[in-house]
Amino acid sequence: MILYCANCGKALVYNPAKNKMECPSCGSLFDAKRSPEPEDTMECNIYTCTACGAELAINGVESSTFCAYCGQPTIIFSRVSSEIKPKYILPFSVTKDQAVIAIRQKLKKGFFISNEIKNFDVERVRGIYIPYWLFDIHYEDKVYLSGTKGSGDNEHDVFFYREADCNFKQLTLDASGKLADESSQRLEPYDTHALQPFDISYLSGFYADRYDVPAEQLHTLAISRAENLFNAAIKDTVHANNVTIVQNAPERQILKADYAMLPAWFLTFRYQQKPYTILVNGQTGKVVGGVPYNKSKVAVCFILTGLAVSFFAFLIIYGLFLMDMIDSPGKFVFDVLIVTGIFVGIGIAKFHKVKKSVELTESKTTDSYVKDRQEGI
Amino acid sequence: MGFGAFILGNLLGFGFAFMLVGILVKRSNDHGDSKGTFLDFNSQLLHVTVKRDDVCDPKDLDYIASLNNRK
Repeated sequence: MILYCANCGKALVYNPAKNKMECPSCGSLFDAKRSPEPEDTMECNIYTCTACGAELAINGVESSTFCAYCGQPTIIFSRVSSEIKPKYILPFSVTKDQAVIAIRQKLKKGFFISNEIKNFDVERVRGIYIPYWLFDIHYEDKVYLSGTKGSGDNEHDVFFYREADCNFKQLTLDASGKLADESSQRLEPYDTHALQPFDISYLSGFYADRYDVPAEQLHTLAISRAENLFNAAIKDTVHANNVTIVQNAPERQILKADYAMLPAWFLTFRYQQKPYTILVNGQTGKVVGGVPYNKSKVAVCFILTGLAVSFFAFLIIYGLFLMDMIDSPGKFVFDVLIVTGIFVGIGIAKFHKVKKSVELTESKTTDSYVKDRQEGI
Repeated sequence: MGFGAFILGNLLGFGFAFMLVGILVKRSNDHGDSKGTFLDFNSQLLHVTVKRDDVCDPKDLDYIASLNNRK
């Protein structure tokens, strides 16, 4: 979506720092006013760039002679598309530079990140409005909770009863089927109090995705998310250990779902010929993404730590054997194996999480999502 | 005895090292994992209307209710 400068005709860009539309050529500033169009849909001309394959959505009757993304004059008219207008938009408050700095700062702190990644060259940074459904949900429940009080021999079970209700306003759920749910969930939370009525001028200079998951398809997920939040909050009202819900009778109702666009920066860089895309929440600046670890650093750290801890563990165990403090060697060996198993299990879980996160960052889906997001409003 | 302690010490030591390195790699290389929820920007949403502490086990209540029903 592109708007043009009334003074020099160049494409305007929304400047989050000034909350204005700015012309990068002559520096003119324009208000991001509400669109006067009352319709629920709007027509956009979709242009395709034959050089980079990008699709560009342009509002109204204007035409474009160059691609806004690769700068090549290889853009041709593709089709007219009718798009549903979102009800709300959350304008970018984090600028492109701030997003890049936030990522650099995060990566610099990483001990196991190779220097090549820490000093990455930005291949492309794109501000994309992601479609979300905002659910209003009424949730009430009558809950019995159990917990424990005391310790050792005095530990005993206690029970609690709560009746409570909760009105969730604008609970966010990603409405794009193309962006991985894990990525969008990790981008959250957004402060929906800062939502503005949708105004097409906010899209200028940014990419906009359009929803392809209807709100009805997300009802179960919305209820489940509300349930998790409600249960966590109700457990907080109880002063005991190991609190669990033992009986409940929830009543929940989805009141409405509004369509909105929420901002995110997508930064892509290359490492060992592969593209990696890290996301930044366009409102809070939260950085989301996993990067590959330096295997030699991990191996050295593992061996040195292993040798040091093994040495002390050997001394302690040998001392226990010498002082005859181990009554049942078989049980002792079994206990050591159990503890070792727990250590290894936790380690595997952590590495697995990092692997999954890196797969998301390097996924072709995310990369192509960024490339394709010109289509939209 | 010494060899047994050596084997057990190595198992514990390298098991612990594996867990520690896993935790450190996660902290170093993976960002944005489940930090923050909807409630960060929407506190005080929960309205507790009935609050009773130290009540009976609900299973006992069910049992009493079933006895009353029999009568």
